[in-house]
Amino acid sequence: MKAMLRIELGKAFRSRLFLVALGIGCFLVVITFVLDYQLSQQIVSGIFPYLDHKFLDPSVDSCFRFWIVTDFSQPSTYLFFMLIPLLAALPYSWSYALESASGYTRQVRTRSSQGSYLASKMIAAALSGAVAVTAPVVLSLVLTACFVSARLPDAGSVVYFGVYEQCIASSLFYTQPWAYCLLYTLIIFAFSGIWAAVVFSLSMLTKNRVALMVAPYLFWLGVKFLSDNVLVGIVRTELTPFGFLRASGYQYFPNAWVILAILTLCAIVAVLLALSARKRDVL
Amino acid sequence: MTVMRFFINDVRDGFAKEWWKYLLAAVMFALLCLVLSVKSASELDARTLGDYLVSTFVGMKEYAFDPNDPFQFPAAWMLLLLLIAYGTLNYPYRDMLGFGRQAMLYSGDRWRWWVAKCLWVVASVFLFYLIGFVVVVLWTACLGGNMTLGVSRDLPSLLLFNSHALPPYPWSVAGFLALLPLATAALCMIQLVISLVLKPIISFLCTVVILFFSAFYLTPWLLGNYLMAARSSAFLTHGMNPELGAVFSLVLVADMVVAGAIIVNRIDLFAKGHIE
Repeated sequence: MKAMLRIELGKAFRSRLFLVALGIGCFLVVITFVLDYQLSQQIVSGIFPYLDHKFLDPSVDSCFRFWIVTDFSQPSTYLFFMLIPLLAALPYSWSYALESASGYTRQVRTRSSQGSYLASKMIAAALSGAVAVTAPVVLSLVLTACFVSARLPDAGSVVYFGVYEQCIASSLFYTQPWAYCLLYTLIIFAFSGIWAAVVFSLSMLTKNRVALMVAPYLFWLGVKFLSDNVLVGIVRTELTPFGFLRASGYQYFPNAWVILAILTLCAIVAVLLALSARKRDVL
Repeated sequence: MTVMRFFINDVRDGFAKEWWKYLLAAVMFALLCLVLSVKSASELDARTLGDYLVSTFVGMKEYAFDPNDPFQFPAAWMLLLLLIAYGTLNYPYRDMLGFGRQAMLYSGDRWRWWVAKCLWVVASVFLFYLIGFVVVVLWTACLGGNMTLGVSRDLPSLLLFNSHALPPYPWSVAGFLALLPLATAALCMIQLVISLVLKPIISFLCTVVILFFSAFYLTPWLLGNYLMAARSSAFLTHGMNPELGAVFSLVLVADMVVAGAIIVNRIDLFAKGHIE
């Protein structure tokens, strides 16, 4: 199992699509940073000369405001969160479908157990998906923290931060912002990893790589469509990763229990589908 | 092999084996009609065919940044267009690595294969719209609506259009509706050409990006703007002109046919690997 895992992790992290996913994420993060840095400079020149005479809140120029997870002003931020389900699945979730079609799975099956092969593959898919999405998120925090001061956000300027009382761990944002950043990074890491595992496990049902990655993405769009049009007023929380992975909220706020339920459900689906294929005759 | 024979093969393989995508699109069109019916529950028989057709491609009004009103992408509009885009995504690439590869090698002619694929993509998009139109007509008929392309006065407020920039009533939607299949075909052609160079999944990602930026920015250079009723000149004084959209779409289709032909001529068919 250990050797198999090492092989699969090597394949996952060296795959071209992992680099593509990472590259797209980092590109969007850098664009967001450049646009937000201009905004930060406007604040510095527009507010700071008057701080001694007028009551103005300097914390609106804080790196925590311009972090991609809390930012809500740049189109690249919205695009990044919109692409997360695709970026998580891109690095390695397709590998089982490809190897089954090419006959590689049969070769492996004669040398190792199907269980350890599938488990290694799932772990590699989950880890590569999680890293491809989380690394740009961390890069965003590092970039903004390098150029914008880490001022403690003031709850009085909530309209600039978008982290309202109803948001998950909002009090943490205004008291321990670094812990808040860690919490959200972990949430994004967990979702991306589990979602990559779900897409991987769906390859037990289809060998079509395009369908494998596009159909689950359309599923989330379908959920968003239902929540916007059919469940309006019934479910008052964010149901899709396009919304619940972001710190800020307006129309509906993310709910920690809903996120936990979605992650648990996804994990159960992934494990059950993989288990169903464990005893399948691949020869 | 002639273009027609390639195309007949595409119809057999592309349409017949992937019929469920068209069924899914029909369900989506029906769902969108249902949403409008639920919104206008008390005036169901007053709804027209035009109302239902417009409601399937609402999109969103022009977005202006406001910290109290963050951007919400139009999920219904995106889902429907991505369903259509997905419908045309896989088959041409799969064929290029399977039957198409053999046919191109034996016939020694890549140009005809490529033209047939372009025809198939355009035909596929038009078939999606034909199915959608039939579903909407049936829906309107079943609910006793008027079979006219006229649009009810209350529709813009019901679909959250920009009520401050509405042109004078009555609104003509024929140009907008006629443009829909053409602009979608242009979008799918862009996707097809990108999928030849990169992988289909990357080209799908590009389609998502184009649609996303179309929703974010109101500009005639982003194709998605022509596909939103909320931004059509029929419902917005400074909205997208259907004639301009038609010219833009035709130019894009022509460009993509030429670009794709050049790429197909130079592509190393054996380096492309397995069937997806």
